[in-house]
Amino acid sequence: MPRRTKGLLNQLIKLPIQLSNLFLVVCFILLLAALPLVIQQSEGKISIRFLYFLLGYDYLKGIFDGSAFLFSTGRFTYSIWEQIPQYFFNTLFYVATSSILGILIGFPIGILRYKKRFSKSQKFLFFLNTIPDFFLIMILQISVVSLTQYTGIRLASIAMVTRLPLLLPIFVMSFYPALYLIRQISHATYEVTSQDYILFARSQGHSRFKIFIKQVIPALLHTLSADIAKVTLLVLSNVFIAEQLFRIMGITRMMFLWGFRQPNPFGGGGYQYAFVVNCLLFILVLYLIVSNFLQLSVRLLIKTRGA
Amino acid sequence: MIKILTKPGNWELKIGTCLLLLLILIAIIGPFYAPYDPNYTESIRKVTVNGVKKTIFSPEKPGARHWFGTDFWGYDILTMMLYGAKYTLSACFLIALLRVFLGTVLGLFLGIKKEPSQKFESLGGVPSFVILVFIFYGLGFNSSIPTVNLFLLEVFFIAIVGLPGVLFPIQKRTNEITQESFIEAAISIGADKIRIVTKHIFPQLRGYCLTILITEMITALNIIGQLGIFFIFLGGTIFTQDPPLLHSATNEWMGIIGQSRNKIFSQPWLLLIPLCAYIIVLLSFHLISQGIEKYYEKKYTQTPNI
Repeated sequence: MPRRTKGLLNQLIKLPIQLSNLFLVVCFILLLAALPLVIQQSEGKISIRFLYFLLGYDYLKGIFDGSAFLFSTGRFTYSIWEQIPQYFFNTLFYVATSSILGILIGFPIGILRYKKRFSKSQKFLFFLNTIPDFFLIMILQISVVSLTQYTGIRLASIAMVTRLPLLLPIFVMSFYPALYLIRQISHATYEVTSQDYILFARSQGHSRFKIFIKQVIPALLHTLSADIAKVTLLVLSNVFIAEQLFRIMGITRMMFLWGFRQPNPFGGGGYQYAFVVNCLLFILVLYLIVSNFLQLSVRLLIKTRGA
Repeated sequence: MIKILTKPGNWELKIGTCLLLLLILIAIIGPFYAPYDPNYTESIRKVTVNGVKKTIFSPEKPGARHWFGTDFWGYDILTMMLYGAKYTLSACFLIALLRVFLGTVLGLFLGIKKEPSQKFESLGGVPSFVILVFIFYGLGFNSSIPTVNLFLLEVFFIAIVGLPGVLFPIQKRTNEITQESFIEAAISIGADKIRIVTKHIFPQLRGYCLTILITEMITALNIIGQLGIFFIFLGGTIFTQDPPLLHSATNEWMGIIGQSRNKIFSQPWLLLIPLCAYIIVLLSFHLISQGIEKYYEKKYTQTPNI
């Protein structure tokens, strides 16, 4: 059987498994979005209202009559197709840019630092990894404000007014995947360079540079490929916090702003199940786009390098 | 732990432990030495400076009267932090202990049967604070549940949602140990499962569990902080419509950070002081974790060939 046909068959066999996984994730989203209504408190006790899990069924019915795609902002009701795409593309821009930057920074630094795994600078990097995203964002924002107040220099925008802030959000969102990759790749490089075939290549008289280009980097691309999903999830996790603190009009901020409103005694407000489900589905699509794009890029690189 | 502490060297562990003990002491005796009552507010006060009468409105900058300043409603920040310290620290300890206890027990008994499925392992990648926001939204705002009960309930949920992060590594480690020949020898002489787990596998994992315990304290601290960004404060969020206010019921440190997060321009000290306290807690946990890792660090037999 030709190699290409065999590959296509393999893909076809995997398709039902991937579709069933996707179905399970959608079910998880439908159940997760119902939790704010399922878990409630009344008369000093926690009360679990399991019937609210059936809201998923109502949502599916709402897809056919269009009611699942409407949301309220208090006074007005909008269709998600009018409002959500711009927020979706804002978030997509941040997630894609930060993931790519994180990989481009973390991968080479990880390789260069493989002999410094137990050094003090590596320990400092580990400490930086324990500092959460919200802390880093707040410290950066306070520093930029103080700098502007004392020197008049406007280094970066700390929140969205009309234009998207670029420097700080992208720095924070690519910082954590870069740190993660530095750790993973330096560990993997240490292991690859400890293998016998590297010693064999060295004994053949190949230069250090050539061994890295021909042997080590192709082997590390497989490690990178396995870590792509984790990198994208890291950026996605940071985007929730970054959009809140930089006031970016992205999909995650919109979800909390309009979906999770406190009930207003004068009318309006309250939790919007369908809107939250739609936002979570958009976030899932965003994750799939970015992770598959990165995965494809790395696989293409592996193929062209013949690894 | 005492055995590790008494060993010479390992300054990370010693400094980290001293710092943590100091924080625990502040959390215990702090409320007795707090300068004001936690319900005392001073939104307006009149002072005479050089014979001129002045009116000072809250929030007040840090000064002699209020060392850490006051918040927008006139509450003394130092008092809030002294009363809130016990909630922050106890939440970290309880969450980490619960996770490590349940994770170790389940991980040991599941690990001797099989290694964790990769499908479930990837579930750990979903940001846990997002799931927790969904769980706490209906519970935390203007809750009728007593503060301490709500605090314990939230601690329980945070521990459970993050359980896979502890369970799977322990299950994996346990499964690796079960492949060792000394376990086969124990089985061949008729040792039952409980004996194998308690007498043969667990002693191998003791150091690993201690490291995970400290790492989980850091994780718990970060998750509480991330929840605070969404105005979900441990022990409950007091929400008022007029004026629109979201306030931490326990004055827990992450809550103080969360409720002041929009004051970067106007009152940065409201944020900067609790952030400094936060980094001290984080640093103490990190130093302890580094110290323990240093103690248990295994020497690598492999060395790079280039």
